[in-house]
Amino acid sequence: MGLSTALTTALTGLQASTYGLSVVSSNVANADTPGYARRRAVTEPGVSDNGATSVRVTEVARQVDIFVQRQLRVENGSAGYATELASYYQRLDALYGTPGGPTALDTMINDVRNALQGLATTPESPTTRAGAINAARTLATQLNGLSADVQAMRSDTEEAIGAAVKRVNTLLETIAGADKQIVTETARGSVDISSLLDQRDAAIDELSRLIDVRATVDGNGGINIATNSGLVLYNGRPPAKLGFDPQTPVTANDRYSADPAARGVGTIFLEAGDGSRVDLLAMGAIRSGQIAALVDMRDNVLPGAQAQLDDIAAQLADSLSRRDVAGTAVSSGGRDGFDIDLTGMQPGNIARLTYTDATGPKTVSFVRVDDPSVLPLANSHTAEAGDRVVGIDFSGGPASVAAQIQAALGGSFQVANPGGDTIRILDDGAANQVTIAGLTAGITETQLQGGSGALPLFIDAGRVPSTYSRVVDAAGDQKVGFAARIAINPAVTADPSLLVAYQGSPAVPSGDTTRPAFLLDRFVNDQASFVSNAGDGVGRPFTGTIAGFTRQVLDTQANAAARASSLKTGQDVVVDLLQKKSSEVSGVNIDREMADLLTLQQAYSANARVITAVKEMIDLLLRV
Amino acid sequence: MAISSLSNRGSIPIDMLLGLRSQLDVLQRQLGTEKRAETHAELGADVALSTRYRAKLAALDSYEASNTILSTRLSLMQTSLERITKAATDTKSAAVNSSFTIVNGNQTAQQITARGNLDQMVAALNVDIDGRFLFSGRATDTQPVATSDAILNGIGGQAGLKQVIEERRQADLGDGLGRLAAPVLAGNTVSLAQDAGGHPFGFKIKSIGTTLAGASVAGPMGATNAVSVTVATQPEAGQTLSVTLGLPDGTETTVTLTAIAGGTPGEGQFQIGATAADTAANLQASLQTALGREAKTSLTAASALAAGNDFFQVDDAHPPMRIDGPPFASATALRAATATDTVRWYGGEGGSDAARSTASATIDDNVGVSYGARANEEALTRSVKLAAVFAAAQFDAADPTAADRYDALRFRISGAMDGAAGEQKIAGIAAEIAGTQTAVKSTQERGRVDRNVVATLIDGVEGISKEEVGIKILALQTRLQASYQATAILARLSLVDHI
Repeated sequence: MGLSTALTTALTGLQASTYGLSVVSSNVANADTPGYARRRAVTEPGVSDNGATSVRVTEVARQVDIFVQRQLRVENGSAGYATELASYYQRLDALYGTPGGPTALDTMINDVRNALQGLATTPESPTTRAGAINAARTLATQLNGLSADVQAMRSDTEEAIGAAVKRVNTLLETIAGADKQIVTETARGSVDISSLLDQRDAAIDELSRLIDVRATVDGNGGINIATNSGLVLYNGRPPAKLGFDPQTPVTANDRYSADPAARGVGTIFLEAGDGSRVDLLAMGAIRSGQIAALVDMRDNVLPGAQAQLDDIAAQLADSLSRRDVAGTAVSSGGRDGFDIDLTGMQPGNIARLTYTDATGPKTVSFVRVDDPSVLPLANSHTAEAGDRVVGIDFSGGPASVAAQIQAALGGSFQVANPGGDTIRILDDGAANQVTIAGLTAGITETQLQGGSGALPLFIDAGRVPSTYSRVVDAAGDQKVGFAARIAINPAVTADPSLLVAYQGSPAVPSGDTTRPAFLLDRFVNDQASFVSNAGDGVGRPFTGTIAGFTRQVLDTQANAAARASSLKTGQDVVVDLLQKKSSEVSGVNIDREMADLLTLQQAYSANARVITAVKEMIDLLLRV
Repeated sequence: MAISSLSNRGSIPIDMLLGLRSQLDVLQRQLGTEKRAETHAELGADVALSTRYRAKLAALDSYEASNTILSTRLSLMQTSLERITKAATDTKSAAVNSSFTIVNGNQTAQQITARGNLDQMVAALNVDIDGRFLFSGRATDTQPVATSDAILNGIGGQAGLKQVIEERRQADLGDGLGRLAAPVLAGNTVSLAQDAGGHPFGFKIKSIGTTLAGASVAGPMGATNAVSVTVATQPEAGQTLSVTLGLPDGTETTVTLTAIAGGTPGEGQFQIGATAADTAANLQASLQTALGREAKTSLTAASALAAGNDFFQVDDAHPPMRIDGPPFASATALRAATATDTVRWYGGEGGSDAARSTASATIDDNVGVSYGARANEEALTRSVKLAAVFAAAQFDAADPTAADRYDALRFRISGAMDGAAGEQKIAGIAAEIAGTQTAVKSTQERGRVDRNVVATLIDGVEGISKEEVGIKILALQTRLQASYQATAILARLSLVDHI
């Protein structure tokens, strides 16, 4: 132990202080840098060869609470999901207009009702006729506009998914790059790898907002990243590469499907080294985060909103143009049943048989189908719960129709075609296992002057023929995307007297209320089941009037939007809290840094003082 | 969104400040629009209530709009019916209290009154509101009734009532005996028969009766309703022979001849001759005179009424009827008029269903009313027809039968004006319309009360309380100011300043 030892020790003290000062200055300089975690120089006593105790900086420690960090990443995924969802819901909500405002869907429905009431009260007036046509046209146009907006939002999500997938790849590259260096530097025993860790953590944090990921550090300081579903994105080897094949513009008919041939929108896939692709959406690999929210919007929420609009449009067209035909009771050979005249039945029209058998009341819906390739139809084709749906190929004429119905109903029934387009369905007579309760059909009127109140006021502007009767053929279900195509029948616009003149001969007096009263009654009172009641939650169809359904749609959408917004608020609170907690540890507090600065300054001058003292002592010695 | 910086400078509560600020913006907007929400989502759980109330409000508004129109139409109909009733009553009392005094060459003052009343009725039936005619049935854009001038005098090539009456008069009178063959004397027997059976014109012999001692009557028999009286012995003075005749308007008249012993036989008398055969001859001569006179008076009046029926009783299935001629005097059938040869007084829709059902409206949920009317409804047609027939007749003051013919006409007019038991009355139409009026009025009143309630409910769901928002803004302002202050003080506090 000698003076030189003291000198050396003091020198190490000076070095440590300087190092500490540089860390403080780095902290202060980066006080506002996102992703920067506060560092602290860790010192420990060093023992030199001569037994003197010195001080040395062993590492620069990043102040990170890894538990908070891990939790934050989990919550980040949920927050990314909630935020994205809420922002799209907000846009969707805005589409439905201000409550009670002129563009709100329910206001427009109410306007049509008002106009039809005016028409029924004053059928002969050109003003009320024009009023009815205008109100109907405004509603149809609004449905077209809403439908276009919804599909535009789907196109937006498609683009956003593409951008997000690109970002994921960039982030994975960044992580891989930083990680490789961290592993190397750690192995080399570098004192300060904080900036690399900062870089890697920031990238993981951002990634965790896009996809729900889990990050675990292995023994070498390297990191493994996998989605919560178990898909490995990075594990030290070159990172996974995600791809996306956007299909814009998106239309109502474009839906996601695991079958690539049927898929009308893009999907996210994992590109393996050999060029093969794995569809991550089909696997359900992405469960949360911004991307999951975008996919959810594109494939569930927005198609749901579109289906609701389609339902409104379909009921609008159907209720005003449908002629209800009731069967007439008939008995033959001890069997009871009904005759029904299906003349004029259009593809997609439904004849409904209700009967009771040993297990209770039953309903069978026979749907006219002209394209046998779509047979058989699913029971979910109609919105009514509990009915059995049977598609009937009408191309073979009434006798073949009767035979198909017979085959569908089985031996307890006797089905015949007694003549014309009439179908006769009889029960089992004396055996009395089944009792037919009723047989009705809804036939779409295609004639403008078909002799009944029914009027094809709304048409499908995107199809030939333009009649809307919910045709199902190889091109798809006519109802899908109908809201985008619904239009006012140009023949009625050209000749508004058709709103009154329900037949050509004998001429209908201009004040006749038959047709206006029919249209008003159907618009106000016609009940239908709507399958697309997205918000019901239990899958029961909504049954009610068109105005009732519209209100239900607004209610459902508003509640979903409000729910999304409150989910986001809740998630924000959680993330905020975690972030605050994290920043208490990792954040730079200038006051604390200043205090450290003072300490280091003092330590530096103290060490310097020691050196001065040693110098004086050596000087003293040399003078002896 | 959370702030991603890990910096501990987060001690400045930026989020909180922004939150407060946006709350202030929302409150300010609420104060401006007086609405709680700008989108449905902001209404949250109240969307269902809001949309339901709005639908109810829209329904009430549309009912109110159509009920206002409806009540105007109904009042106008009532006014028209009152005018028609008054004109009909006026025509009737003119016909009752009238003496035969020609004032303008061929008509009495009362007939001129009737013409004025006809104008009134036509105007009342032709009433329209915004181009909608109220008495046209379903053809609400068609004027229901032709002008009274066209009705009476025809227009263009179309014949009017006057011509129809004249042709019918010719057909009913025939050779002057009302389509009866002249009475025939054969021995002691006088026979009388119609000129032919099966046509609707002239007298129809209904019965023959006598108090002549020793005389016997026979008939009516055969297609021509032939009757005869055989004067076997001489009758005594004062004994009578009467022949009852059916008239074209459905009424009957009886020609009675009283036997007188001496002097010149007057109207309705015959002289007892020297022998029974002479008496029969006198009877035949007097009968011919009496029938000729009857034809000029009651038959002519009845003919005018029948012509009125032919002309006025029209609907979609029944055109006006004209005499199949010329010649008219020997006509044997009516023919349907064509649109070009005869005025159709009623041009509206004339279906076979109830007139009321031709216009209907929904005045409330599931409450419908029917309030249509047609000018050719029974009661309205009757009033117009009688006034028109009365106004159409013309008389020659010099004609000795004119006064009797006038009386026969005016009694028929006044007698028929109110309608027989079981026939539709104008008051009946008015009562039906009044019933609808009451329903509409009470619905309107209820609707207005409901509307206020619903509007209040909507305000409760969608609206704001200005006071509440004002107080909230004040409170928020205070908090925001305090926060700004505190933040500013905190931001200035730093060790940096004190080293």
